[in-house]
Amino acid sequence: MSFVRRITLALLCMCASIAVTAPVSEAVRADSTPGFAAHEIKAAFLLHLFQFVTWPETKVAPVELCFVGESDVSRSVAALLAKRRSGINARQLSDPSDFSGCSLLYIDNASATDNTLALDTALASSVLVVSDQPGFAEQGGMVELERQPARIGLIVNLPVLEAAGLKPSSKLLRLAKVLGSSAGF
Amino acid sequence: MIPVKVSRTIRQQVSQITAGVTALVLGVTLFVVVYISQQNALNQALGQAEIIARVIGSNVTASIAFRDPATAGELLDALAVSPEILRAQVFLDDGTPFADYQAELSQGQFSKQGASTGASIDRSSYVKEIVTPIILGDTEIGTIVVWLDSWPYQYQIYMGLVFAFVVWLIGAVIAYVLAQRLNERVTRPINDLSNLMVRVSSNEDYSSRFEHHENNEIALLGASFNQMLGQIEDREQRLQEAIRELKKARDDAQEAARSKSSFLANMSHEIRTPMNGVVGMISLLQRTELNDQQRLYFDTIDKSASSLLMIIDDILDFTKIEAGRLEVKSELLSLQDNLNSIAAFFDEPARNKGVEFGVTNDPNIPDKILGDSGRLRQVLLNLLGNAMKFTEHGSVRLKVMSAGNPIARRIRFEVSDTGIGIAPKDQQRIFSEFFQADATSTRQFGGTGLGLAICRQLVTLMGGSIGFHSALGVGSTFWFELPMQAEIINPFEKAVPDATSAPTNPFLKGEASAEVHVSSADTNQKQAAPMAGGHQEPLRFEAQVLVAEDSEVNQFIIRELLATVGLKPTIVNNGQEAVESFQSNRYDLVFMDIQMPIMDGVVATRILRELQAQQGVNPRCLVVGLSAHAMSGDRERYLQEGMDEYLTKPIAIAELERVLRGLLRPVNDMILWR
Repeated sequence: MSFVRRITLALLCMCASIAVTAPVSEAVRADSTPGFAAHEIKAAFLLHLFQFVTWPETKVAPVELCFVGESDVSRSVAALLAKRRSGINARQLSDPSDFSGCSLLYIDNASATDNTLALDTALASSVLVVSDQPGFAEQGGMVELERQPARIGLIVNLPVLEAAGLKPSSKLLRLAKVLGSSAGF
Repeated sequence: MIPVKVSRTIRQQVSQITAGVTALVLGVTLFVVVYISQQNALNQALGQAEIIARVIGSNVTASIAFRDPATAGELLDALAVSPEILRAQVFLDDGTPFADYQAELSQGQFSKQGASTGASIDRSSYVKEIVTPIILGDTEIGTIVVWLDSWPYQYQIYMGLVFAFVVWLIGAVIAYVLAQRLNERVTRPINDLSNLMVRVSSNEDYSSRFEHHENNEIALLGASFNQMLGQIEDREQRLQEAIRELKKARDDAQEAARSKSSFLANMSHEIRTPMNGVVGMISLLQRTELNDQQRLYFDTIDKSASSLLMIIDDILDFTKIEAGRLEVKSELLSLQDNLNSIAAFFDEPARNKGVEFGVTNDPNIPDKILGDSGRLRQVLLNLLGNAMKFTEHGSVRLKVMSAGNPIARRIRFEVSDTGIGIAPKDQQRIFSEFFQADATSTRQFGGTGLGLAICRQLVTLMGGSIGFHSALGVGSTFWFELPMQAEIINPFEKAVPDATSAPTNPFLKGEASAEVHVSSADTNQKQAAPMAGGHQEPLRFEAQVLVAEDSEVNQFIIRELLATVGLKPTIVNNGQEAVESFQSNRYDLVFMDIQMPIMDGVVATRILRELQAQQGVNPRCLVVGLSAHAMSGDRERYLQEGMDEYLTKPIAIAELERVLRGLLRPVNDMILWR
């Protein structure tokens, strides 16, 4: 099976599992970094990711942060964006499959539907796909926000990232769990 | 001598200035350089630390963004490579600490506030805090604080300064030593010049010159100095020459003066000797039997001889004054006695002329005063003589009064007459030598014209002043003032009776005779002396007398004179014969002429005295000196030479009698030997 297909498959499976795990992650969300709710942290991370990932030059401003469906995270992001100008535009995707105009696509675990993601679109359009679904990165996702006892960690699937033409900063990679290597498969 | 004391030489001064400047500049330079360089090192360290902080800050942005303290810590750990970094901390933008690093060796706690607890006191103050913001994008997301131990750098600065100080010290010393050595080139010429000047001025050696080798101001100074020395040398030479010439001129002048003096002396003798003969003869003749006509003739001759003597005396006095040889005595005299004898002198002539004559004295003036009685009388005689001469009728008065002020008292003598007076045109020159008011009066009244000039000289010599006022046809008043010097009260001082004073106590005669001075003026008064002694009954002596006199005329005279008092002398022609005769015969008295050929009186007297003392020849014989000299000092000199008495020629009978009376025992008198 081609790599692309495998990714697609993974994504689909992910979507499926999301519904199952959603309530679990909801419950776990409670004990995050003291003072901040997990969704707030994740929102911050999303915004920060823009600062540590380089999109190919073909991608031009405005920078779009797309959400599939509303979630706590999307609302936090909106709140953060309202506080200060950052040049980032957050929008809800009306059509989950049409995310080619996005720079970053966030798929919230909680609000995931059984939408299927066209991975090749992501790869082709250099969209950074981020999710907090457990196992997302392993299953072919680019960046996973991992729930850890005291914090939110990052898991970066480097090959996928690079395949999308995205370059992560070494600073980012340093503190993330990096899956795979950039040397081919 | 050199009035300046050299406490710091120019060399020292220059060295000190040079070394001082060098040291100062060197010191400042070193200090600045060292300090700045060390400060730079420190700043560099600080700068580096800041850079490191920034780098790390940049690196931890992700850690902060993604809340990963672990990786931040790891990054901070990289600071271990810089041992001066004691601690570093990353803070979030709200100030909460995020990550921490502490060097192993740092002691104590360091906080963002910078206070240290428990660290070594010295070094805590050297910890520098570097705060750098951590910026992500355009926002400050946190702060990184790095604590840097600046002590190593500070230490280096201190060490550097110490080292610089040592270097400076050494440098300053070297500078001073070198300056001393090298400035010699400049200061040596100065020293040379200065030494030369000192030498020249202390040795007065003006032949030295300064050699210069450089062409600077010192050389200029030296050249000027040389020039000056040359001029001085020149002047010295000229001065020496001038001195030589002056000395020669002075010697010549002294020689001339000596000649003049000896001329005077000779003249005095030469003139007096024949005069002695004339006057002596006249007096002898006047004692013989004469008829009226002869007496008249002889009186005339006498008058003429006296006038001649007066004139001669005037001339001699004048020449003495000219030669500066006239001396004025300061002896005790009795003013009243002198006035009395003067008065007596003019009584008769005034009466004969029909002119009133009077002498008034101020009783407040002390009688005993210091002065030269002979010269005083000379002046008075001159002035009174003039007054008498030029007054045909009326009066001539002598007034004596006190004058001056209490501090400087003077005696004033005024001679006023009602004579012909002096014309105004003549008054100016009245005191000039050889001046006569007019030729007719000279013919009428006679005189050499020297009188007033001599008076003025005498008065001046006596410390006084002279003057006159006169109106033609009315009369004249001549005055002179002398400083009044009262006697020094000394009970042992002998009174000085004058030869022509009133008869004194014969008992005192012998004592006083030594003090009496015989002046030429006295001989004029031989006829006027209201005399002392011996005219009551003829004086007779008995004694063996020897006379040593080379002039035949004088021999004759003295033989005759002695005959009048009953003495028959043995006469010899010179000192040598006198000595021989003295040894072979017995004598009571010797009249010894001074000026004699072969052996003069002084030498002969000396020999006689020796014979008396050592061989007992004529032990009690007395010696009377005879001389035509009438110079002041002669009498004293001859008395010192061993004579007992002294007479001037021409010999006055009265004088002779006085001396004889003083030395011998008159036959018809009860006086004891002296």
